[in-house]
Amino acid sequence: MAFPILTGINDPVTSWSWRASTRAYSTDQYFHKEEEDETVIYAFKPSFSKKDWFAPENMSSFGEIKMNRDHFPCMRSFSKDLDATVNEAFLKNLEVLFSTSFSDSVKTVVDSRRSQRIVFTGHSSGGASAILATVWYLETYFKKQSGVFPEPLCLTFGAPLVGDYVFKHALRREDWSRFFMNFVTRFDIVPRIMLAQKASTNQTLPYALSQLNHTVSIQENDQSTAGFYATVMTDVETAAHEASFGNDKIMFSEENSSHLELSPYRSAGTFVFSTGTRLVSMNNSDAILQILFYASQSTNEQELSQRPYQSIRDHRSYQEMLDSVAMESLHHLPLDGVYVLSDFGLTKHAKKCVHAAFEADKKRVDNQSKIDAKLPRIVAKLTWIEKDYKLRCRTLRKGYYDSFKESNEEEDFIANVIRAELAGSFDEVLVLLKKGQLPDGFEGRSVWINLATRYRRLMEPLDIANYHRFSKNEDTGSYMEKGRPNRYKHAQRLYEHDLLIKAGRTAEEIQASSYGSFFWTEYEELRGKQYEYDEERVKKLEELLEGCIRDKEVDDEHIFLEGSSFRKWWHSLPEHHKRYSPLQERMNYIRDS
Amino acid sequence: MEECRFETSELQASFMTATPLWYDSWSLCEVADRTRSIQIHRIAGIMYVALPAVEITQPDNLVVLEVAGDGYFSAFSTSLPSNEPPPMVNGAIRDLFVSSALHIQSQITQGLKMEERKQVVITGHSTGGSVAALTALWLLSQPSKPSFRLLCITFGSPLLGNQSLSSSISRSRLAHNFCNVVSIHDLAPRRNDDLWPFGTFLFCSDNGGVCLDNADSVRRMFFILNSTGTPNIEERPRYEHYVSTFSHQFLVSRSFSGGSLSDNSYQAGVALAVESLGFSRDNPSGVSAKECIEAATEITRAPIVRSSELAIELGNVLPSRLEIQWFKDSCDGSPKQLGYYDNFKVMSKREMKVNMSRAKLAKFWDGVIRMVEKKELPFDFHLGKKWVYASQFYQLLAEPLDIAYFYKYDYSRTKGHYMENGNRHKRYVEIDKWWKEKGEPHKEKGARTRNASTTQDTCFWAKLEEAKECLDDMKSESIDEQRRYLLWKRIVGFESYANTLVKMKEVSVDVLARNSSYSVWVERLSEFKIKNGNMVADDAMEF
Repeated sequence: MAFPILTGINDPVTSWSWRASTRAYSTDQYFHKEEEDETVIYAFKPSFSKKDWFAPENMSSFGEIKMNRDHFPCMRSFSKDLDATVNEAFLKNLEVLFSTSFSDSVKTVVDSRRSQRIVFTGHSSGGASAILATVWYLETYFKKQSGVFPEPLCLTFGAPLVGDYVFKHALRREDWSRFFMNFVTRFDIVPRIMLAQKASTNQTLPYALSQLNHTVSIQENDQSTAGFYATVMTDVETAAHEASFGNDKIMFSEENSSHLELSPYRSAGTFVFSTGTRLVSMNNSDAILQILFYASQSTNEQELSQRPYQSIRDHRSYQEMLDSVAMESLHHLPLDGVYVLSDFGLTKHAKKCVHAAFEADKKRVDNQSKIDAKLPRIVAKLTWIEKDYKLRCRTLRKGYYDSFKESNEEEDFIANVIRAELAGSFDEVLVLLKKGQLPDGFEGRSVWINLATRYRRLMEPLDIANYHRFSKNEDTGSYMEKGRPNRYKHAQRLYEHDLLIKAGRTAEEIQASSYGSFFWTEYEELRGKQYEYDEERVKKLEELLEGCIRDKEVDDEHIFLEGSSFRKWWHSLPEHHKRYSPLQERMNYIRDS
Repeated sequence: MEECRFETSELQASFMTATPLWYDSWSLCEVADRTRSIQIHRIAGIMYVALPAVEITQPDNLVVLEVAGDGYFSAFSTSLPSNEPPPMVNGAIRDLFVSSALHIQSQITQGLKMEERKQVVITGHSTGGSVAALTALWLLSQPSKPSFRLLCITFGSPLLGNQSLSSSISRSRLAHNFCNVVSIHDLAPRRNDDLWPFGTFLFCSDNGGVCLDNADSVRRMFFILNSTGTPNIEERPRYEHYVSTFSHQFLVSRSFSGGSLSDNSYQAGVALAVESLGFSRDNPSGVSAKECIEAATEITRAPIVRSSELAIELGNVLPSRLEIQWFKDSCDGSPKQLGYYDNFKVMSKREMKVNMSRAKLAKFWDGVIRMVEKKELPFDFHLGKKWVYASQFYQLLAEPLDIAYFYKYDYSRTKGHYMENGNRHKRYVEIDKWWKEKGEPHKEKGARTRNASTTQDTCFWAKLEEAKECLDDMKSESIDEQRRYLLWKRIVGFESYANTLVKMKEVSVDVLARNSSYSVWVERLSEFKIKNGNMVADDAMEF
């Protein structure tokens, strides 16, 4: 994976960002802005008081909270239908930022169209603000591809972890991950702090934070720091081991984990670790977690006794890192092989764990190619339904929904087999997605979104027909509430997301278009009822139908055929209703085929 | 689609020893042993129950675990094949368990009352661990599942029971609740070869640990350890040493940073696991240990791999099932009003095709049953929702056709009826068992308003065939009164059974089709009744 956003580690913007981050310390604002040529830098001021690291009123074990879907619609997982989780205190810091002139300032920069690049940066918790500010920028400006906006770049120095795996997954799916680059010195404690339970560091955190502050001097051989360090590293170890199972976790460990509270936080974007002699970059969050633990190990007791002090000092040594590291020695993992890890003093065991994390990534890519290889077969099946089956049903003047529901002919049987086979294929993908066995970007690809949409529009009516043919609505409940398969829900989420991002549709418009999937089940439910009781629903169905047809959610070539049961039902409605119905014209017109 | 294949035995161990669970468990075991009393404490939101070790002098004396009746374990489902002996446990341990079980249960219930996170760890060192395991098993197999999550952690404990106990626990999906920590120097867990391990075993050495989670591999590792003759050093300090080393000195790297590492992370993992047990890779016991760990990975993975292969095959035979479904539906809609059971007996061209689908499905399911029997699939395979339902749908649709086929081609007076002499195919007997074991047949969902899409008693047609024969025999002149009585009783019995099913709408519309064997039989029966008056019935009553 290349890093197109940064021309190299010696891109001047790196050291400039660091300088800006240090200058942000002395601002009396929450942010500090610098501008030169075509680049604007926003640097955020860190805080070393506990309330800015863990929100005091937050009751969860790691100070976490779900992101608000209205404000951050992209930050979620579609397969699990789950919003990203972030540290509440950091999110609050972002809100505080919005009470300042920050968002106006960004708007001015964007509107002026002078800048090519907009950088968000910060040291320590300032880095956490930079990460969330970048996400905000991406959600606010960048996702709408109408209009050209400056590419953001997020450079953090010793920032704490901010979000969970959904956060990471969403950034990668949107291909935004490439904008995030986090610099971490080998022993820096801060990127490890969020892996520890809030309760266990409750007492020692305030003092440790005070030590992390650039502007005060560090105490060596400090008992309190040593205690803090040991507590944090215990949980870092557990988190690292837990992550290294991947999906191979056996039942026992599952049971075991359920007894423990494990940190939800994971790294997002690229991490650039400094080993002291060179820089190693990687963006596999499981591998990064292994490094965060194993790079702290040593066989030497003397060295180990120095670690607590080093873990504080390293948080303050980013200037040295930028000065001393030979800029040409940036290594990328897994490209350059795990031998570069020797500088971290990693044991064989540790290297194996890092290596395994990269192998799991390779496996995900393999899985994607296997799925992609099956796509032509899926497309062929969809095409048969679209062309052969639908055409045949149209010649019968009945529409494919009704034809399939009656299922009298050989073709209906073939269509049913295809329906079942396609269901199997899409279910299989959904299972892989849920288990995280496909690359994060898999479902974000237009080729997949388009295929899933085509599948949903074409095949869902057949599933609905099947559902009502076997009166599953009696056994199970209404299709939309109880019977709708997850593969369609997932496909619909992807489609709506795509509309939101690419077409810039509003939430209301999307809502209206989603009604398309309800069409057949709504018809089935209304059909059995008396018009008087459900007048409103009938009217709503008619009213929204045009929009659904326009969005290609409902196929008007089929529903208005003479033999269509929908048409027959409409004609059975009371005269006074039909007279004012928006469908009147379509219903009185008989199409020639 | 494959998952990435890693050697996980060592990762599991690292993970386990990194958690506070085992440190806190051990600390409490210490107190329990010292004070010789049960210790119950809450640590970091988890309730720990530690049982003291008790000296047991008598030799291992196994007693049957009373899994039926109103004993402690009446709700423990063994699902053992009938030819296996019953589950048995050490009698002395059982007595200790009985003396403390109710006390522990009430303490847990009380202690958890106010808690939001309901998590319990039951633990013990040596014999205390064995009692802990039996207590945990009892709590887990209560008629209603416990309201808390339960983990049992034992340290150097003697094994609890026989092979049947071990396999029953695996089959009941309870094995993952048990973790047994065993020092490679400790003889206690591997002293008696007749006893079988269950749950996960964490083998510890100075170099680290390895987890094995199937009984065969654990036994094999016991065997390797027995043959290397590792000295039985004083055990308590050993565990103390492991617990404190792994919990407090985790930042001290235990493996050397030098040495070569295989590019294949599976191979690298196995090699490291062998080292973690303190074996050298080159000596014979190191080689055996390596084979044992590899085999363990294989044993754990093979059934999973096989069951995902089966899932694909299930997809491949789906069209066959749909074909039968389609056949049934079109018979239901046909003006012939014969139903698919009787239609199938016609065996014209279309039925021949359906028959091929029937055979294909039968072959697939026979294969599945064979694999379950040979234990080639996960222990709990047949309890998985997907397979229970898939097999059930198959049976509901296909067994009537098997019955039709049987009566068309195979039935004779000597061979006997479908339900007799093992004529019914074994696959259906097995699927029936799975369905029962799943333990949630149709919930009372209220009365059906429409007929079921398939007849819920898959042997309905076989029962009808018998009733049909009875009615034919009744008409024959040559039978004596005794026989007439028995025949009539069976006829009336089926009549009322069928009436109930029809009334409950438990039969599919094909049964009620105008010209189906059932409708014809009902008609003939009423003709027969009219002809013979109610005399028959009344006479019969007087016997």
